Amino acid sequence: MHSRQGSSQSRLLLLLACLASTQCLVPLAAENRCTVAGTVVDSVSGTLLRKINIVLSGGRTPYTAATNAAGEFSFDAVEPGNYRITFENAGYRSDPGNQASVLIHLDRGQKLNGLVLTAVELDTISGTIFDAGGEPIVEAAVHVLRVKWWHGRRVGVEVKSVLTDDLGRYQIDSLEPGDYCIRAGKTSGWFNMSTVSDGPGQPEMAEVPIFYPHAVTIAGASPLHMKAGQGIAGIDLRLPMERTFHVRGTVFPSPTDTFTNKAPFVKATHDDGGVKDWAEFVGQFGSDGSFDIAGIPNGNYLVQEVRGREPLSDPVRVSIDSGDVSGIRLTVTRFDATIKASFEGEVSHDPSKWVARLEPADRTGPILSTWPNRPGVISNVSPGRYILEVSTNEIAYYVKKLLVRGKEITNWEFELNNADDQLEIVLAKGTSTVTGTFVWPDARPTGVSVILVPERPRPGDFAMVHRADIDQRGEFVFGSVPPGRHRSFVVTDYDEGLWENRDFFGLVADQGVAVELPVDAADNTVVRIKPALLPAAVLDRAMAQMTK
Amino acid sequence: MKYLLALLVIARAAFGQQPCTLDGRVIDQTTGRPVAKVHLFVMPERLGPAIRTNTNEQGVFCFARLDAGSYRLLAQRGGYLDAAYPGTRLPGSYVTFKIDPSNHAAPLTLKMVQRSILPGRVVDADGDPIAGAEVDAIGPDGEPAMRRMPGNIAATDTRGVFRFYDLDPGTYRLLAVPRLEARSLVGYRDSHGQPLPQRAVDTYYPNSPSGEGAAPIVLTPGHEITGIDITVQSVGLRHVSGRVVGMPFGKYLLADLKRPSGGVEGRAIQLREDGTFYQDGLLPGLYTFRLSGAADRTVDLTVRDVDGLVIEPLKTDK
Repeated sequence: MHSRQGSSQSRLLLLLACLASTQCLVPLAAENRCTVAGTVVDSVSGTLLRKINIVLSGGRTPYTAATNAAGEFSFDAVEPGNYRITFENAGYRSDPGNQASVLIHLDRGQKLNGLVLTAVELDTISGTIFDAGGEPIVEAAVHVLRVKWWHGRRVGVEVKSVLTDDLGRYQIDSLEPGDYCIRAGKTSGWFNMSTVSDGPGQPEMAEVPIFYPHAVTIAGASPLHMKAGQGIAGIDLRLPMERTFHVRGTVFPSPTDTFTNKAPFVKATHDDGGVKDWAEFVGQFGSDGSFDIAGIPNGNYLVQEVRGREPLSDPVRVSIDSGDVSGIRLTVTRFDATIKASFEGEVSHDPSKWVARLEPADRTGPILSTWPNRPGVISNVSPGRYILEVSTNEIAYYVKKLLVRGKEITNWEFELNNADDQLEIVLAKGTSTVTGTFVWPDARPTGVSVILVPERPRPGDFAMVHRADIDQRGEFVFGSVPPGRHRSFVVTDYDEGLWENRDFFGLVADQGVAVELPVDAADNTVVRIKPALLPAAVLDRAMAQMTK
Repeated sequence: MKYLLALLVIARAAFGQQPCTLDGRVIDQTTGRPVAKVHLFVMPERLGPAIRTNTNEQGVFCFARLDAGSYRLLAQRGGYLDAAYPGTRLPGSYVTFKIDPSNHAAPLTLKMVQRSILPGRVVDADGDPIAGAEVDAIGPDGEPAMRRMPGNIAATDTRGVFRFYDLDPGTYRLLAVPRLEARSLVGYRDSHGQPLPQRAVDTYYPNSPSGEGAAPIVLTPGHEITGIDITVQSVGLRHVSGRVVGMPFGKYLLADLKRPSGGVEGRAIQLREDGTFYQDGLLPGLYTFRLSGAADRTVDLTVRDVDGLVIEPLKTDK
């Protein structure tokens, strides 16, 4: 008791001294000091790893330290609170293990010793890119793509890209374990050379981009299955020299910016039913809005004006069959969508209290948002199917209703065609806090997620799937969950896109524990749940059906 | 010259073609010898395909037919730096020459330079690789005129390895810029709850945080230089404390440090309600402290910490 008083007094003195000298670094009172200690092991070999930088973040003060030569770490002066543990080492996954994250909770003075954190070594793919004549290509672009679930679709997403060196070699580091497709193409360089010919009037040719091993589209690519810490060498591609053609046309209205790095451009991508976030063939604009995409081999394409990943025009289908295609007309239709929001039961509907975001339903375009300087308006919307997400700083409120042109929307996705499709949202009180405990059967302490999926997603919901980390005590908390019937699951490898896929959810829903969250829940409503672990066999079966 | 013309006549005969619209030869700039199997591309100024041809064993090329217009010529071959005519191979030199098929131009002589290869590693004091570091090749004039990657900027892979292959021959200094990590900036504490004592800094080859300690590296055509390890240095970090007096103030005071790599590292130092501030984890160096309405203060944290710094309103003459 005496020593405690002494400690408080000395702390007070130090604080006063700090204020006097304006120099302040208050040490943590001894009784509050927590300890976090353990080891880091390689996920595959199990060997202890030295020099792994461990970061504790999310609390009032962030901490960092590296493992010693024996793979051990020890923080002995951590403030109480909730922390996320991550690694900061090139070549290793930032989240320990193959889990979403590791969350820990520290009570005053707690000693959390004996943590065993698993470091997952990242993967490397390397190879050489050759031209049709077998010579290595200097500064060819090599792209790594991953096929991901986004809602109802599989989308090719570019993960990384690198250039080959003077010997045509490339190396792509720091890839998470998973399946990857490799695509290589020749860069036009600053000389802007996209096609070649043997003389005026002769056929145009180009070394056309391909997917490993020699497919024109991603559908024909052979994915590389990368396990943790794997390095696959010898992924060589030889770009074929093919006869190529032009797609020409005009964009209406013609773009005003064709020079800056934010300027729109016209692209053609293979029309193979897949959604892509990269441009396969890029065109040039004339001053009058005319465009010319050169270097395209035979095939079926979607031609579209875009700005970055943002679609500006509707895509137009074009088929190239041994000849140039001209007269393509791309029309850009953009409008301002207006959104009115009202907080049920409140007189003031302060627009600064909420933000609405429109996201293309196929998740291939950018998210458009309301801005404080123009509340209630989302600019530059193109016609299409959208998802609306509304977030509010009034945490007890949720989107009770969404109306488009006065008609209530019941699906998560809806169409917006023009400025007359005015949106109206009604926010009402009644979210719940959902908590619980899940203890891993074999006492695994960290790194597992609990997810909460609405049986019927509500239009306007900020999240279609709610995810919470489980801390080392087995506890988890979801804040501000809207009312309705949900299913809860414990998962070991959370894939957001997969869980947002309603077909997938339909396949596993009956394995989840049902949770009914009350409508118009009173403030501070806390619902405790007991989620169950989703068996791996069920997940595998569902995945197999999804990929059929 | 007579020799060259004779060679071209022989070469044309060898090509079995009519007189060329554009012809010439490619030689190695260092040896003067002809370079065979060079890919040549004549690119129209306006959009269109590049017309291609190759040099023969005598280094001679011939474009049999070209339409009238303005063009650039690009020469590429494995093991050589690209060569361009007119102008240089580097971005920014956009110049063209005119072709008039009715008026045969004099043969061109293009000189190509064999690549100099400069591979190396960036490592820490223990010799362990540092991944994700930027490495700048700085020419004799100091800052490169145009920073380009690849070219005079490289990056290390997970083995800490970098490779320059597109530098002109000459003398260079190498500067390794370690990746700036969040934990270097955001008030992290170490395992004992103390401010981080040191941090890796920009380092010149072989191991100097300042340009004076940089060892020059001379690149000659066709040579590869090996054994270049840049050992990144760590330096002790400093703190500063003080107060803002005699003026209204916002939430932050800005402190800018000019880095050796040319960039500025800025910090926003939080001001307490009473105007006092304390910031640790600062790299040694000469800082400029800025606050709206106050005079800029230069603060030297090169060799020591600074306490009791007073930030005052800008004095104006009445």
